[in-house]
Amino acid sequence: MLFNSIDFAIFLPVVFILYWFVFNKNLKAQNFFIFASSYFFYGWWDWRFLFLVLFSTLVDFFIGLEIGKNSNPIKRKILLSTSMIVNLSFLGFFKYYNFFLENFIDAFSFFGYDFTVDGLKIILPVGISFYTFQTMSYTIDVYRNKLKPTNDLIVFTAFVSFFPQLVAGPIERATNLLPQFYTRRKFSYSQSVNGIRQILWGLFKKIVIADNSAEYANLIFNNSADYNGSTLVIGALFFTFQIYGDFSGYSDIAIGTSKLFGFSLMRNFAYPYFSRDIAEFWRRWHISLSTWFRDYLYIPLGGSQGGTLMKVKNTFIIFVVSGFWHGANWTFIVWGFLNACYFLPLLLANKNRNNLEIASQGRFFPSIKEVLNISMTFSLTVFAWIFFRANDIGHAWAIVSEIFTNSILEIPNFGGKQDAMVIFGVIIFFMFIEWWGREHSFPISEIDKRIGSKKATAFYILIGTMVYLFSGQEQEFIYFQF
Amino acid sequence: MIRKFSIKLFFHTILLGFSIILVTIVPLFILEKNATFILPDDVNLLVLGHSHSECAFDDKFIGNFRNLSNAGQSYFYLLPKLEKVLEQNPQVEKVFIEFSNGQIEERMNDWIWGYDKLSNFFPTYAPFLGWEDNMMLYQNNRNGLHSTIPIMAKKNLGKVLLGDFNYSDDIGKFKPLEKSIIDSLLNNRKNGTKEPEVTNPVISEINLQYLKKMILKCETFGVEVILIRSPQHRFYNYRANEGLFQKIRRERFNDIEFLDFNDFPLSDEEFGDFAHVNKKGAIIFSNWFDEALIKNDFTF
Repeated sequence: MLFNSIDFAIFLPVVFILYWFVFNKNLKAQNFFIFASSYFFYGWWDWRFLFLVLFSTLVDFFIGLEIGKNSNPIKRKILLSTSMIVNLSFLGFFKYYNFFLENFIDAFSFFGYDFTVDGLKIILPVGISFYTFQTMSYTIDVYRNKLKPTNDLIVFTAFVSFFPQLVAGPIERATNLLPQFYTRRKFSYSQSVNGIRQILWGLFKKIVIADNSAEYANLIFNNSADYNGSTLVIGALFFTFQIYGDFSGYSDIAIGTSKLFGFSLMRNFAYPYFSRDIAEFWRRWHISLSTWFRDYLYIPLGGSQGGTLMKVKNTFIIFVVSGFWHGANWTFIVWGFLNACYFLPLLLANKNRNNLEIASQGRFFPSIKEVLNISMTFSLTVFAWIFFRANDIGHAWAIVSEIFTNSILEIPNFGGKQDAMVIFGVIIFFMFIEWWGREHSFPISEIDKRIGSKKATAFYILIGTMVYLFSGQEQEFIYFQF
Repeated sequence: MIRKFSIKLFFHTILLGFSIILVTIVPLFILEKNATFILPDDVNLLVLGHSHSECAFDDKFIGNFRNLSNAGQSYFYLLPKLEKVLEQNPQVEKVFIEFSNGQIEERMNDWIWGYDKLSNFFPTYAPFLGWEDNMMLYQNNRNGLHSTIPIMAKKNLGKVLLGDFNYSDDIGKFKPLEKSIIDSLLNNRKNGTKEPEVTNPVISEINLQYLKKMILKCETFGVEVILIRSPQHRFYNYRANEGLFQKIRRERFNDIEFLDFNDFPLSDEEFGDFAHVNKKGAIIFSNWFDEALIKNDFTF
């Protein structure tokens, strides 16, 4: 079920009413209803893959219990490894099987051994990368004694399948989300109102910004050979806003929806395009995944504690693995590698934690230095997105080669330029609102306290009407494929 | 608290609904009232149709003539265009309507309510469609219409906000076909690859009904109406339904003059593909058509 579909527009109010009016009597009923609604939500897409979610849930539930019971370090390690192997095998099979097969064949043919093996027609289960990482974090945290295993299967099932964040995150930590299932949720007026505001802002990001940017990003990337350098830059810019609007919009809807049910999910985006360096960008982009890799991969590898060589090695590992997490394509690996190259100089110069606060905190206008730094970071990010969006490395290389020719000085030329100008205007409006509200968890959080309730109402109507007017270009969420 | 929340949410939803209705409906009325379809005073001959006539009639070469054809446009969308043009251009004396083999086919339904055509043409012509027309679209493609209404609302709101009421340049024109794939198509045939012949016995009743409505509209305005068939290549696959096409024309439109240029003498190099004449073919055909109009003799 897509968040931007009629199905979800019916599902959400029905679940909300049942949750607060029928299943509100006790904790068990609340948790059971969350579990049932979440399975319904996921099964609406393809009920067959429910068994996969269930299997993954059962494996980690029982392994978690066993780890909790055992004090023998070897047994605990074996149990942890079993969980990792099961989870990563599923992920590996559904997501990477064909990729590895193709690359093995290519590698063998390089050495003169030609053979053909047909790849499997595998459907990628929606959200597998997200819920797999979530269940793995639970087992790892239990293993590290950071968390006591739960012995309530319904609670654990509801935690793994919690519908707002099941298919595209945020990838929740068991230490944050699981305890919220242990206490009965009570309706909070202010939390729910803010939840609705966040859903509205998420819909705006997805439907107005992402879907409309996608039209031009797709047009230009899919016909890149026909366009000059300046048009390709426009295409990359559109994709830059598409991916941000798409993914952060999804996260906003997920977090806002959770608030309606009395849950608080972790923040996933914190105005990444206002970052002043790449390190700051990575603290503000897909936070739940970056911190996951930091806690469960980077730090166990030694993090930045060792010598220079270790720092370099670990940085490249985490960025390349992060790129590979996005999909079985060399483009994602190059994207991760590129970001590692951006990040490394900051790490080696010990400047990777220079910009911890949001830009221009306490001021509206940024300094010239901030403008320059934000522009530079944004440009590097746009460049990296070309690799992320391209169909393959050759395609990315062709685009980059064309951009670095004199044709970048020509006037951009593509179909529907007038409509694209309107979308650019809307993107400027969107970025202005983001800048204005950047000191809040999302820009229109508690907006009524800032501009008064009448103006806030007018703003909601404006945003809601724009969502309606720009809703013709419906696209799937990009991160569903990851 | 939950009661207060629900009331507030309901109140905001109502306000939003009102706003949405406002931005959807109001521009329709404003455009319906103010839209201009005014053509130059000396234009008294029109051709309306789809890509065949769009590519064939170069109005630079035909006196007092305007090509209002639009690729992929069915009679459903041609009707409101015709009505508005006739309303605002009393100088129009004669209307040629493209009627070719494909127009009887069932696939024409897709040209009316299929999402591609719906999202392309409905936003422009929505202000001029009647209740029955809208209901017909709704019954045949409810989801497509739901998705298209916001596109229509955005387009029309933009026109109203910019004060752009002029439709004359936005309702079709001659479009020369520059690229030609005729050589590769002929080579394919030589190599034994033929385009599948189209002999679907199911016809699009709705499309034909709207053609009838166009004819009636012309008669209401006292304008002469002539059906035409633009030049088509001898290998055009829709020619396969010629028998059915002629039967329908005789049975339903026998009282309407039919100018048939199906076999107009053009060489292969004067076609862009089997369905359309190219730029060169359009110049030859249009010059000939101009002379034929003057002589009132369409034999070739």
